[in-house]
Amino acid sequence: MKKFLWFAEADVEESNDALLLPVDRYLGADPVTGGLFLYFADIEGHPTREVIKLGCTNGNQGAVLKALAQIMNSAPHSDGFIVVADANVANGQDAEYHKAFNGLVTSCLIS
Amino acid sequence: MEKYLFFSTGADGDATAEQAMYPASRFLGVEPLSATTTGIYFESAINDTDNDASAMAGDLITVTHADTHATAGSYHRSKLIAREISRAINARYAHTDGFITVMDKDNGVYLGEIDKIKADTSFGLAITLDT
Repeated sequence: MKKFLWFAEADVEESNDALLLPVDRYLGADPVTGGLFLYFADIEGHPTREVIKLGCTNGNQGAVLKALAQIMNSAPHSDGFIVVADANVANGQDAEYHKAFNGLVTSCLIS
Repeated sequence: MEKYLFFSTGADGDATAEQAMYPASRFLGVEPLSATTTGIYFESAINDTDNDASAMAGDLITVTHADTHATAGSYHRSKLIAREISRAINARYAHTDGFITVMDKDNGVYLGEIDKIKADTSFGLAITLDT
């Protein structure tokens, strides 16, 4: 099973508004005020990285990271497609955050 | 078993960048490029021997499609494309020879729900190779 993680901002319209990334290209994370940064190897293959900020209340960063580990190691999904954080509401849909976050993640930004 | 993802642009496949087949293990990801385009990335067949950080480092499949990002009940096409590729790479029995046609515009064959977007007025794909 090869897992892929889906991240999306509030309006998916152009580059860096959404990403599908293989789990095995996850590099690490770093907390920041109001959330934490997730790092993945660059989607275009450059020796750089993708940076995704998951928003959460200060003090919850550790719990979010624990949930992320659970998500990346969760029971095999039928198609390997895992919505981690989809903040897209541009089309009238509700934002979707993985249930393992238990409501702690409230936004998603890709830079 | 390694799986291989096949793309054909509809230009007969007799010249460079008109067809491509990549090992699934070299799939890098999917992202929207604009409201009407989605990029599918693979590690380059050059195998990064140029090590050029300023230019493209991977191969890019650009899919052109309708702008559905703000359509009620819909979503930017990138998510549909991403899900189908993920599904194909993880399919256990459906592709016994490992050859997976993602988009074959020459023969009108498309993977899963990607078939639903072929009717988009602007639908098409282009292959940009790392050089």
